[in-house]
Amino acid sequence: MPGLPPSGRKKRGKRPSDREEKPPLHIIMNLVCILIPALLAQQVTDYFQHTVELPARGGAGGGAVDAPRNAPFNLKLTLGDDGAFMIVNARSLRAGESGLIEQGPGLLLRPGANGRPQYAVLQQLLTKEKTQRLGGQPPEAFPDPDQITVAAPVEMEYEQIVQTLDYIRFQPGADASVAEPLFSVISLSPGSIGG
Amino acid sequence: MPMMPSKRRAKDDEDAELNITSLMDAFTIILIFLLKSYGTSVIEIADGYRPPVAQTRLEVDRVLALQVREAGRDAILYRVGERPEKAERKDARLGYQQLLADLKNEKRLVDAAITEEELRGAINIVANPNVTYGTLLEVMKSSAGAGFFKLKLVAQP
Repeated sequence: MPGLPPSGRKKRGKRPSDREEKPPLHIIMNLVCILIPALLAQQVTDYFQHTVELPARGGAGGGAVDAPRNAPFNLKLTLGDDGAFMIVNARSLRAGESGLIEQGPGLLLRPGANGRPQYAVLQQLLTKEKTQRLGGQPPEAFPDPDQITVAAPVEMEYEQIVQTLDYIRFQPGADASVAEPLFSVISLSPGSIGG
Repeated sequence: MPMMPSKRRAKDDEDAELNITSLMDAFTIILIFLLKSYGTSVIEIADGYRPPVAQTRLEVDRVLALQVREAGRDAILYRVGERPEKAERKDARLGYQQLLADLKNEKRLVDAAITEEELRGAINIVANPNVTYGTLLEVMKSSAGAGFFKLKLVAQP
């Protein structure tokens, strides 16, 4: 029995258009070009943080063998309703320096001529205090070289507290992202602070 | 006399296209990166809550967020994590007890899920700029009372 006759269709090579057919990349490209700017625009708002703590209660516990040999800084800063700052327990700062006035338990920095708090001056004073108190010794030689306690009136707005934290957390610098830390351990305390 | 281009060359010129395959690869990588960072926002701040502006550029940690705003004198509205918003008036003697109880409940869940030991006991506090310092301290006391001792005040640039 004879088999089926061979197909009459000739095998032909693929046409160049069949062989080189490409996916419609231009559609994907258009989509990507819209998505990237849209996503970048969404990235504008980002959030950052100030780490703080409440003042510790009780003693500091037993002393270690290699405990710091110098007395603690015990630096305190009180914010006033009028924009003044009171620096307590400073050893290197003197009255008259950058407008400091001796008052009560510490040194008072009055607000500027425009009535606004002198944040930059405060930052410079605290930087000087810390640098001179360290006196070239390593920070490990002191129990609290990075610590400061901040107090403010209970009616003060939170925004003003955060602005102050900006200036006491970092040393003076054009950009906070690259500035050296000043006081990284900040305790928030109620009321005013005495010596 | 200039030479006429051959038929084959004319056809090649006609078919010539810009090869955008490499560009597509680069864009795809950028897109994946952006989608990843877009979908993993560290803090979702609810309507009505707005952190103050600050210069700090310390990155926010991925921990429980407590959002707070004032609702009159000695009264607050707050949200613990993704929970619904609640209101509480301060007890003159005990402070914000309902907030304390909510945070204690949440602490158990947070501790069970936490993977980074250094973030144990950490909380992001998102307070509106007009919240008073006294209210903030009470909120911080409630947080510490619930076991959240690492207090991170969230700010925006």
